[in-house]
Amino acid sequence: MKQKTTLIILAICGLSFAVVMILFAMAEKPISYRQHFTRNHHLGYATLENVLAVSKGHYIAGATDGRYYFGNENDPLELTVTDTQLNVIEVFRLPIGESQLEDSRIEVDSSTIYLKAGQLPAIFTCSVNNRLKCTLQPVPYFLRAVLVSGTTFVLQARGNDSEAGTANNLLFVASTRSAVVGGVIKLSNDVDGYFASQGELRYCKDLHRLVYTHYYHNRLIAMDTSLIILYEGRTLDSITIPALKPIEVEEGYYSLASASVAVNLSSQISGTNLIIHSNLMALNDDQVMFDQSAVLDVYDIGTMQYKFSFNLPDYNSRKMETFRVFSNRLVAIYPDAILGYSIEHSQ
Amino acid sequence: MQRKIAVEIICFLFIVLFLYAAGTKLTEYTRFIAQIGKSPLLTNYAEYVAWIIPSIEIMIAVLLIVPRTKLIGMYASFGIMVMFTLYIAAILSISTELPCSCGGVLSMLGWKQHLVFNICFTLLGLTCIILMKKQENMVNTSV
Repeated sequence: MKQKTTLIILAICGLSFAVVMILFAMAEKPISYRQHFTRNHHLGYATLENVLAVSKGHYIAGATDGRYYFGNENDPLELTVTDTQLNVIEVFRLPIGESQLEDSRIEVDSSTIYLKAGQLPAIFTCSVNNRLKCTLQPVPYFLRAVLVSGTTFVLQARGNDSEAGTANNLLFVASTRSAVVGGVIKLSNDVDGYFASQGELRYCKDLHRLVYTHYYHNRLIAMDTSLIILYEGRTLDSITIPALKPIEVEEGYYSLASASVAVNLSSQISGTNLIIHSNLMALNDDQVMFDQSAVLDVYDIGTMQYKFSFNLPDYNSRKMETFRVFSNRLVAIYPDAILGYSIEHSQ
Repeated sequence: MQRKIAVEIICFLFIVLFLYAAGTKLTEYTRFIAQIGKSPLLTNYAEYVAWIIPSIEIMIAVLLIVPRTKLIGMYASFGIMVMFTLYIAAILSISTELPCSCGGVLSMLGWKQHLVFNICFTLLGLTCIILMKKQENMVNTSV
C-alpha cells in the first residue's frame, strides 16, 4: 500500500515535471537572441570612475556647472545634488504644497528647476539659486515632458477617441508662459498603433531637433521644434513590424498580452549623437557579455547613421535602468546605485 | 482524531486557496490573459490557459469538498502545486521582471515569495496524503 502511494506521488511529480519541461522547450524564444545584424563594438569607451549607493527610485534630473541633480520617485519633491564625482553636496525638497504629484518628474537645466506634474497637470518653475518660490503654469494632461527651451516643452500624452474606441499617442508643444498649445502631432490612430507607436522623445540642443525612438520597432523620427517631421531613420535591427498583442483589460484601458518584445529600451542625446539602450543581441555579441551588461548603440542624429556600440556592465548583478550623458561623463542609474563613467567625448 | 482534524484543516486551506485563486482569475479574466501572455512559456496559449487553470482549480476544490473524492482531490492538489512550483522555478530562470499572474492578494507576492508559498502548500499536500493514507490503513486494519 505504502509502495503504491509512493509510486503515485512519484508519477504525479514526473508528470508535472514533464508538462513544465514541454512548456519550457516550446517557450517563445526571447526576441533579444533572434536578430541578424552586427555591431561595431568600441571596447573601453566608458570607464567606471565613481559609485554612489542610493535607494531604489532615483533618476537623473539634470546637471548644471559641476553639479548633478537626482530626483526620487518615492518623494516627488526631493532633489539630491552631487558633484561630478558623485559626492553628495546636499539633499533638499522643493517648496511646493501640492499633493497630486504622482508620476511627476524634476528636470534641472542651467539655472532652472522644473517640476513636471502631468497628472495635476502643471509645470512648476523654480530657480536653482532661489528655491523658495516656485511658479505654476497649468498645461494639458501629459505623460512626459521634454524641455526644448527655457519656457517651451514638448508634451507626450495619450488621447482617447471615445467614439472610435481608440487611443492615440500625441505630441504637442506647450509653454510655461501661456496656456496656448501648438504643433499637435498624432503618432497613432488605433489600439495596435497606440502600442506600436510608443517610444521616447529626446531633444538635441546642438541641432535643435527632436528625436522620437520607438520601443517596439526600429523607426526613428527627427522633428523640428514645431513637430514637423524632417526625416526618419532606422535602428540597426530589422524589426519594422512590432509583435504586439494588445488586450482590453478594462473599458478603454489596454495592456499587452505578449512576451517582452521591446527593441529599444531607452534613448538619450549626447551632443549630436543619439544613444539607444538596445534590447537586441547582435550576431557578433558575446551572449554572456550581452546578458551581463547593457548595450548602447550610438547614432549620428544629423544623418541617422549608426556609428558604434559600447557596453555598461551590470552592477551587483543588476541591469542599468537609465542613463544621461553630460559632456565627457556618463551617469547611469542602477536599482541600488548611481555610477559615473568617463567617456571618450571625441567620437 | 487529531489526524482527521489535520486532514480537514489542510483540505479546507486548499479549497479556500483554489476557489479564491479561480475566482480572482475569472473576475479579472482579461487582465489574467494579459499577465500570462507576458510569460514566454504561456504566451502562445494564453487564451486557453486562462480558462483551463481556473476550471482545474474549481474541479479540485469540488473533489476536496466531496468526502469520497477527497484523496483524489488531494493527489490533484499536490500535482498542480508541484506544477505551479516548477513553473515559477522555470520563470525565475528566464527573468524576474515578469509580472505574477495570480490575482487578488496573491498578486502582492513577488516570484520568490510565491515560490516559498507554493513549496509550503506542496509540502502540506504531501503531508495530507500521508495522513489520509495512514487513516485509511487504520480503518482497514480495524475492519
